[in-house]
Amino acid sequence: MIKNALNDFFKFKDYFAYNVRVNLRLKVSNTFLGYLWWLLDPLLQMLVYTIIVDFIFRRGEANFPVFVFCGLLSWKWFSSTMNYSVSCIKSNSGVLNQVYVPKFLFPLQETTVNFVKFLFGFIILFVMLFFFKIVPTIHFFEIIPIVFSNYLFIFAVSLILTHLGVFIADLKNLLGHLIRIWWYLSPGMYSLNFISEKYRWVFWLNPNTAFFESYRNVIMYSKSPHYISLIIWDVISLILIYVGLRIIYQFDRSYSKII
Amino acid sequence: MEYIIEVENLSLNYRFIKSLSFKEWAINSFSLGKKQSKTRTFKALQDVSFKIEKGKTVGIIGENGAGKSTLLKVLANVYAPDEGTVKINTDSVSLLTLATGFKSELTGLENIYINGLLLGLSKKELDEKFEEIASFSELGEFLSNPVRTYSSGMKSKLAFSIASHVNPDLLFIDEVFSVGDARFRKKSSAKIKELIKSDRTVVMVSHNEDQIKELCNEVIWLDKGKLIAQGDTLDILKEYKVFSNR
Repeated sequence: MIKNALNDFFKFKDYFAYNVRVNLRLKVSNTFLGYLWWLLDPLLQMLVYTIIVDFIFRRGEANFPVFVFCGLLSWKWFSSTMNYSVSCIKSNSGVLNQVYVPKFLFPLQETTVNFVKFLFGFIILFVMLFFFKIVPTIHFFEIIPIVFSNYLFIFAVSLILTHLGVFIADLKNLLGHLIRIWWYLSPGMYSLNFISEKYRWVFWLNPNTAFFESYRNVIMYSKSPHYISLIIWDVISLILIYVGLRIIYQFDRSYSKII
Repeated sequence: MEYIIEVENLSLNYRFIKSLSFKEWAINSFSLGKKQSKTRTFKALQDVSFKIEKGKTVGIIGENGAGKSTLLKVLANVYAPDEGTVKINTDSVSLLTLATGFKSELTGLENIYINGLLLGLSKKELDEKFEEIASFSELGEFLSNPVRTYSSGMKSKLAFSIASHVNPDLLFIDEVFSVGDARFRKKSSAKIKELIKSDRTVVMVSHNEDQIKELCNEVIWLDKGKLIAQGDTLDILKEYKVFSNR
């Protein structure tokens, strides 16, 4: 099965690469500001949270804009990919009714597209670090394993959503709300110190806690990421990817028969 | 004899997912009798078996809803059969339909690449063939506009130009014979004939009897998902005519 997936990937790699490139352009091609939106999107969202938390509630962490941005970048990658994956088979049904395409390519493509946007967000991050006089140390390079784990996890979740989205049309409606509550339950705008120590362990059941906190550690606090949590989530992601690929291959040529 | 397609006892169902209505749910949960399943199925093909020899041109005829297009999609590996087996003895297969999966936000040019790559051309082949496809489509400068700005005639011209420049061993044609305005129609039907007359195997769906008579060596007749007959073009067409005038 894994071999199948790899074979298919190599067979369709030209299509995959072209599609990623074109999709990156797709969402901004008709706007006046074009690619600038890749930078503006996370920047504006950061400003919204900064206004709410830092100026209105006056509860923000030190260097709040950077603090929230570290979580926001990863979160945007995750949430945009989930939003797309849940309906990706339906939105590609035109193509899928004409030729065979291995279905796992769609979530993989979207994970990759949003990954590239995530990387672009670092341009803003560096400007902000300069502005707030935060100097990244050698620990910054430890961001690589975090990004890797993050990628695995996002792909794993989107694979499962790709499958479920075909059968449960309601999932798309539900997901919007789920995504919103997931963000508020993740330590994106607030620090874990805010939570009483008794309940803090509950937050560690949320994968985003591991990601957000690790990103902050390496970017702002010159500490190492939470390696143990990351490894646990790697294992879970790999299991989910394996299960997801299995299911998707089992239904591979039946999705489009469902009307 | 060398067969390129071997189909045995093929059956295929479409599944409809029903929306849950409260009334139905209540009746279902509280009735003691047999429970209805949440999905409804429609048998599009039932127990179809046939073989097609290499190099032949075969027409599929039948009324609307007989399962002709569904059969082509199974043969083109888009749908998995629910029962039975389908053996295709070549890797180079392509399905020509006008129901294309264009991405409307992308330009015609980008869609040529995406569709071409999907239809089995490599990036290199596409780079070589690109000029030919673009000039065949006669869309000129429109190619750099998003497809959503195209008229339906322009879309079908583009779709035809891409699909007809893929050169597979086994070609399926779903009622695509002539598209666009009068001039383009002439050109496209000539192109189709050129594709068919070469030594590749072609399976085509058409409602045009003259065309089938002219192009096909053999005909398969489907009705309501079942195979009624397979055989010599003229014989089967005669029977089919009697049937449709019933």
